[in-house]
Amino acid sequence: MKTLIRIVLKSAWHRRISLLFTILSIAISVCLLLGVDKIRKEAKSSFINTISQTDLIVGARGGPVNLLLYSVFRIGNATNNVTWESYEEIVALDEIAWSIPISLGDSHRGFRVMGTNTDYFEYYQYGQSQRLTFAEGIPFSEVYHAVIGRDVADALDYQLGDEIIVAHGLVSAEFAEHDDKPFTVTGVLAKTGTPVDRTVHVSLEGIEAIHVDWQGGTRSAFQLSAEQARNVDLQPKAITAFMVGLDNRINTFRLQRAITEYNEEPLMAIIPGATLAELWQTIVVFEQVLLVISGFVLIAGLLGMLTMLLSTLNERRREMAVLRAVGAHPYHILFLFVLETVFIVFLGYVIGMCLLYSLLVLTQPLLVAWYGINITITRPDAQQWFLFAVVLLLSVIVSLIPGLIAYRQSLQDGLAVKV
Amino acid sequence: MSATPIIHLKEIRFRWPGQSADFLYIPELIVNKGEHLFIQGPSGSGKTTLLNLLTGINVPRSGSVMILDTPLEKLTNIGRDRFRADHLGVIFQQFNLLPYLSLVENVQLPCGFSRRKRANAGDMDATALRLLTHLSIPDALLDQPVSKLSVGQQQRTAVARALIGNPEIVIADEPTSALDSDNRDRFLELLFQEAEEQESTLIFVSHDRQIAERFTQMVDLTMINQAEVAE
Amino acid sequence: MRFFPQLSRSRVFFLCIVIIFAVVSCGQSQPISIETVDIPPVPLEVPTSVPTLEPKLRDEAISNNNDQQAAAVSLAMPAITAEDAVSSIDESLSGDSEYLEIMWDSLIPSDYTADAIMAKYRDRLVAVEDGTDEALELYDAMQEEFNNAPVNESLSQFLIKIPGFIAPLEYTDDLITEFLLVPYFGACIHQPAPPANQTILVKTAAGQGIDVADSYDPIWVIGELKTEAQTTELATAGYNIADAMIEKYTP
Repeated sequence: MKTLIRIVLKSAWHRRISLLFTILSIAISVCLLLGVDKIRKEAKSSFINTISQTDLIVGARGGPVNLLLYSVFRIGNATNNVTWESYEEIVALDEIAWSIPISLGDSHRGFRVMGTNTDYFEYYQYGQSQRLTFAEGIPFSEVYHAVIGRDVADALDYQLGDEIIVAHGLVSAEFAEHDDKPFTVTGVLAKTGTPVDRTVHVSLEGIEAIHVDWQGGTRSAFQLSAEQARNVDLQPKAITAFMVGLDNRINTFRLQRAITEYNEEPLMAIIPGATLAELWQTIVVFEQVLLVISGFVLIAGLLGMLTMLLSTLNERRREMAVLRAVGAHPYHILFLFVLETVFIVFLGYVIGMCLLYSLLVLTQPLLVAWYGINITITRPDAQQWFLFAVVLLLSVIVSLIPGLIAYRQSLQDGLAVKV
Repeated sequence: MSATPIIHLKEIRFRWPGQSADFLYIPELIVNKGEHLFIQGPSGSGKTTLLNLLTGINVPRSGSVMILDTPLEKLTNIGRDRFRADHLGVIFQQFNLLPYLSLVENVQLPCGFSRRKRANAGDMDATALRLLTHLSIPDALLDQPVSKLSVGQQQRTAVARALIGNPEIVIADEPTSALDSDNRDRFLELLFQEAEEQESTLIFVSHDRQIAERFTQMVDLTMINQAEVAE
Repeated sequence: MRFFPQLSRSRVFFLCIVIIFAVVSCGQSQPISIETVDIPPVPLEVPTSVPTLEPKLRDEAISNNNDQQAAAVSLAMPAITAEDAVSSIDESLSGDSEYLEIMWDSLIPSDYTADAIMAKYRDRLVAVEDGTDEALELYDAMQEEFNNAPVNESLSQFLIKIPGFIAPLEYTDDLITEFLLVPYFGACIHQPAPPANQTILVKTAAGQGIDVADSYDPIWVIGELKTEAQTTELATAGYNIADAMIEKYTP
């Protein structure tokens, strides 16, 4: 046994150049497979942990997933608004314990700006019923105050007291900025691992103030200074959406129905937990397709290895004859091939894993900064160890093909190789 | 040398699968301990087949192959392989050595497959070096890869490998056919020397009549093979 | 290596087939296997003896009106009254299960079942012409009563097992751990929304939960049913199950 292992290792080292590429191809396919698996698990966690203890989200009638995406994930846009009257009338219902109005549409250097009131800091929860906490500073108390998320502060290097200019719309451009009405950073929220980190929060009045002299998306002829704007009636007339918490969750459906049937305005109420599940079900198909593709890439890598092994079979017939001469049985020959294949695949897998982890370590800060996706670097879980075992088993099966051919050849050849 | 039969073939009949008639029929062949037997025969006369039978690679259709008082035809496949590992040493015409092992490792290879040889070899490194030196392999070449050796040196290394661990029987299949006459003579000289030192029986197969005189015994395969010539 | 059996070709082939078979069958029971998620194209209904009520009530009322019969309205299956529920406890408990397997109609108190409501309104229905505004008002009123029916307190603190579909509310570690259990699929999408006594607020026991990928599938919920008529400081009104066990639904 020891002899066989020595032979396998030395033989492999002798052919290390060609083996190197085979190992690399397996490593890359393993990296891809594990990477896809990792990302889908991370994405799922990030998604699910974004909002908690919110019973309904209400917005203008449209697609439920769309409402979830723009109100919670700050992705996409609302097609219509909710009037302030409707908002007040609905939240006056007995069943409602609290509400958070939100207003979206502006941005600051790539980060979305959200108008809301201080109820947001009190009632919004994420993850496992975790509330928002301030790493620095306090909520806004004045029209031109802003509270920023952790990623905004880190990416743009903001401190308390810095002034920021809000742009109209999602992309900044100088002609579309509310540059006469800067906001002051009064607070920075602690890291949540949710889109909250990538948001600039201002009061609803602040949103009104900066739009007071804008009409139809551009500045109007009449310009008001920041001070003048402050003194105008800043009661918002419309909001984008609002979140609602109920006294009793049993009433969720009834209230949802009541809001849907509200006849002053076409509105829609979604149950965030249920809509999240719905969204996930859609994505699940894509993630499974991705997994299948990665699986195929791995199989391609294994087949490449098989090709390499088969092509070297003829050259190695003389080696086999020598081994037979010194007393090796044909199944020793078979075993050599199995050992060698498992060794190659094992190395390839381990290298692939190392490759993945180095990639993760390198890209982790970038992913957070650019996409707000938080990747936790954890040890492989039971599923991934099982995959390892399956791949090794597959390699044994693959090795049987050249192995059995060599077995038969060595039986036939005996001591005289007719090459 | 006492006349103790170490190899005794009796009524051996062999044919390849698909052949209608026997390819090899040997009524009797006896080799005594310590003999140097030269088996002569042109290509295709069944030399290789005979060697396969002697080494246990193949089993005759009928008859008995008694080697060292062991009936080879009664052993299992594994049994024969193990027998060969323990009691035989084999030299080919060429490509005897594994290119990825060092010289010393090549020589020591049989000890990895036979406990008996390993025990006999004792200090394996020392034994291997001793054999290589006896076979005139220069010290400087000992660390070199196999590809750096000349054919003559490779063949002599093969002798060392065949002899390590004191196998009782050494079988050589045309080992000099790829050598020039000088190398051939040196090879034979050293082979005989070592074989005698270890008291091994030598069976040497070749088509080259010239070297037959050096041997104590000679057998012409076409004479002893009684099989009718098949079409 | 010394104890390896002789490897003939046929044996090796057999071995290969066994290995492949083992891998394939193992793969099918692992989460990493590629199975497509079937989103039911049509709303599924868990067997319940209370189908969508409105059309049924109307049809029955119309036929009653037409026939001028005082025959009792019968639905697909007789509703289990609370007394029935109680009396069948002994049967269930004497068996293997410690819990009472119930259907959704057990959650409706006996005087608020479709039958009972129909009975209450029969006189008025008979007096009214079909298709008129008054008729519609009556149907709406009946529906209101049905929707606002109180909880069935006789089931309070019973250990029950009930099947249903879920509307997820909260997640813990990627599992759905708090949800609303309803009798049919798509409660938040399809009308009508189930009344309060056809909804159970469920919190799962530690370690239990439903994977997001399975959120469309029906499940069994096993746990102690708490019924509260009113919301107080200590408890919320409606049906609650805390520390529930979850099982995949099989009929």
